[in-house]
Amino acid sequence: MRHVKLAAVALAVFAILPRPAAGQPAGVTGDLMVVPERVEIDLAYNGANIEVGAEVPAGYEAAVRLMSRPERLELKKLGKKAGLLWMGAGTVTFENIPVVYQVLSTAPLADLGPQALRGQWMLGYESLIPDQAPGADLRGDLVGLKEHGGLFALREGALVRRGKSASLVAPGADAPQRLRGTFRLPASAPAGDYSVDLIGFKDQRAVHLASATLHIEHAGAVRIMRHLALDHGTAYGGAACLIAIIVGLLTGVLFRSRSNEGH
Amino acid sequence: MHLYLPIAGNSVNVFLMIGLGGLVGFLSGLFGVGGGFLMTPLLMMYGIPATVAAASDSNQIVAASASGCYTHFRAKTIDVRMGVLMLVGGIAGGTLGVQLIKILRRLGEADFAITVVYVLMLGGIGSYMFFESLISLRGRPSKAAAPRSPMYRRMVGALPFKVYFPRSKVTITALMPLLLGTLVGTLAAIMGVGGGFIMVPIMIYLLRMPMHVVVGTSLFQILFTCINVTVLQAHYNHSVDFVLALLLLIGSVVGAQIGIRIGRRLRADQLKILMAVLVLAVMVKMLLGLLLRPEFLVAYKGGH
Repeated sequence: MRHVKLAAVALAVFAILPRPAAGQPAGVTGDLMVVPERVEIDLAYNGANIEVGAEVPAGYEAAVRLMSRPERLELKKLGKKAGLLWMGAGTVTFENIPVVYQVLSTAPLADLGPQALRGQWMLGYESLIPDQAPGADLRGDLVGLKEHGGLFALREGALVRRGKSASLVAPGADAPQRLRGTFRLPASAPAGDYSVDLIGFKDQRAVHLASATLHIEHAGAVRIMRHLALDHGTAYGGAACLIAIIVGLLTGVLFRSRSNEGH
Repeated sequence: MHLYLPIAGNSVNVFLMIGLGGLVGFLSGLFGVGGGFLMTPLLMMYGIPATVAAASDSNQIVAASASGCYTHFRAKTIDVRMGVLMLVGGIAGGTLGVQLIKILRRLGEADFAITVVYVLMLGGIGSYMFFESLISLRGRPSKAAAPRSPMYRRMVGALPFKVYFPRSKVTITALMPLLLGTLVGTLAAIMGVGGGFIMVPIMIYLLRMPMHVVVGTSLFQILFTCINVTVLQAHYNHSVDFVLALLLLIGSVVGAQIGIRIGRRLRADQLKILMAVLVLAVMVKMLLGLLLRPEFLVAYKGGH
């Protein structure tokens, strides 16, 4: 009985895992490398460039998608009040929206395959917020807000062929193609694990070729200060005030002595 | 040169933040205002979350007002008795305001009501100060300089608990600073600002305090209000970013000293007209923000 239960759980897990679309050619694989795989947020951190190197079978177009864990996002909706003034007019909730979502591709997404195919792999903003999803009418505004902060980006054509294969091997030849591209993560991208997936496209079919994980974590003084602020809030606030008062008084004394010297 | 802010979760340009702190500290020293009404929106425009911007700004105002208070204390231009009464009223008003805002939000139209009242009040105070100072600068006696109406004098005169405030050279009922402090504290809590720019005109026009004492007393009151806000924000919301506050306060303590020195060289009317221009500029900025269509029709929660 216990084995039956375990098998059922395994089947259920398998059912929700991303897997090749129907008709995916057997034995088609790729390779994906993310550099660096681990990013530390310290006081000098100002965002990071994440280099990706990929290898895809000959004749394939490809896209690399980097995203954080999808979650519910509640935003303030802006509207006109009294027919004149723009201000908060309720809230709008989006489901399954990652904080960070970026895509690099070898060609415009529309050229890779039909929307339904791209939707299976969450490629493109229409896939992220489908037309029937709640808040879809504000998709453009959400994307604009996120792109403005550098958290969302679609960089079509930014996944480029590299090395000898770029010049010597034409698409369609047998040798695998090597690709490279760069994600630019803003400093506001939160700490956590990000999934990076390589998806290949050929003949109106999509194939999941490889995946990797990018870890972003707090380090050094940033980690210590977050610990103090989050776990010892009152003492942290008191210390912050004390330091502010000391700095303020010292400056007052300094300026006073300077002003006395001047007389 | 950039520095990562541990609580805000973003990086900022070090020199820009010090410069912003310097500008706001300068205004603080010149007019005796905290500057939160100016700094918080500027930080939000830079991408700092609203709650972190407001809390960290309170922290840096502690430094600027401590620096200003020290200088005013040496110059004997702080009316401590008046300041304490206003502070007590301000804290009571703040508590009342927080409860009031909860009720307003439950009714649904709080944001609309608050914003409209804010703009109207800034416009009213700013315009009155501007024209009154303009008339005074042109050498004509202003309405504010003239004795108050008999009705106002009768009302104030009838109130009990009269106290002489030697530093301000006024005799008024202790209830006045207490009640006005409560009113400002309530408004400040509702609007999410320190209230210095409301308190200063009230001290000038309703409490009849001399301008040089007004600035010092306002800073004295702001110092304690902001200590209270910083500790409460750190305790309940964990939203004080000390790295951000440190950058801002490096600029603001220096700016405050420069502001105080320039303020001493200006006549009271000149100071008042500059303050009026500042209040009107904030009002116009807010009004434009309400009238112009925003770039995106969604915004992160927590902003004003």
